[in-house]
Amino acid sequence: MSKETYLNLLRTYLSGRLSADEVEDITRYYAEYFADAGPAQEQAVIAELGSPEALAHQILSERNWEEPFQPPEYPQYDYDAEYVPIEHGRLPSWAVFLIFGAIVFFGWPVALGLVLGLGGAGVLCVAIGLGIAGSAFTNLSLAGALYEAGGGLIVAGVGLFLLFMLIFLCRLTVKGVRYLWDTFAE
Amino acid sequence: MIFQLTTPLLDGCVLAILDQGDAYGYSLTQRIKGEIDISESTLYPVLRRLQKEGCLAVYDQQFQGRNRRYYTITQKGQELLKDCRQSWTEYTHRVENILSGGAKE
Repeated sequence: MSKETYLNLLRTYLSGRLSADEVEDITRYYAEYFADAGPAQEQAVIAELGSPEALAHQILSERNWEEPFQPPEYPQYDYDAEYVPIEHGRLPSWAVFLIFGAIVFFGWPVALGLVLGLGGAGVLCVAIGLGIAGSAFTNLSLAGALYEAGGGLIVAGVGLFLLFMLIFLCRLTVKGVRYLWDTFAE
Repeated sequence: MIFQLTTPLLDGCVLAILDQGDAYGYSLTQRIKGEIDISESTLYPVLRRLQKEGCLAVYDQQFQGRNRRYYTITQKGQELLKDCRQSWTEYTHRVENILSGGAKE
């Protein structure tokens, strides 16, 4: 390689590991070394010095002359900082109303179906179940009475379960609406 | 047999050469290499360190249209050189004693 290539490579290998001033000093030292040796000796000098990488490595490992090199400051991640939820954009109230309105407008059949379905089925089951259980009192055979009582209570239980489901869904909807309102509305 | 030239000794040698006259990097290296087998990459850190410690100073001079950086010994450098020479004399005497069989058993 040529002297210029050699010096450029040396500079490259040293950059970042030493301060810019130091890198310049070193490169200048060896540039002068080449110059003083004379152009005829260029390859001989390169042979003596070794590869630019090896030379850089040796200089770096022997550098007990310098102040500790401060690498450039990188932004430090603050692990102790409290987590702050990302604040996303808010919408004006009218926009939120509009969105809710659209949901209601298009979603009302589903909601109605759920209410009527769950509610109706629930009430029906409770009513029928209690009815069956009630008629156990008028049943003459013990087995029959037990059968009616048990079956009736089971049906009533299912009905109650359906009603509770309905209540749960209603409360969930209210919570959801409230959350969306708090999050997105100004 | 190769004897390692330790850092303080190398410092001393460099200072001794400079004590005889200012020199530039290449001439200094050639002078030392004439006597001791060291690699070129060893010399730069030595010079840099001695400079940082104030034992030598640098100045630039134009030579054939380009820059040449000269190294020159300072007062502090001369004091260090004196210490180094003293230590070396003591050291060699003691080693000589042992090697030549003069030390008592």
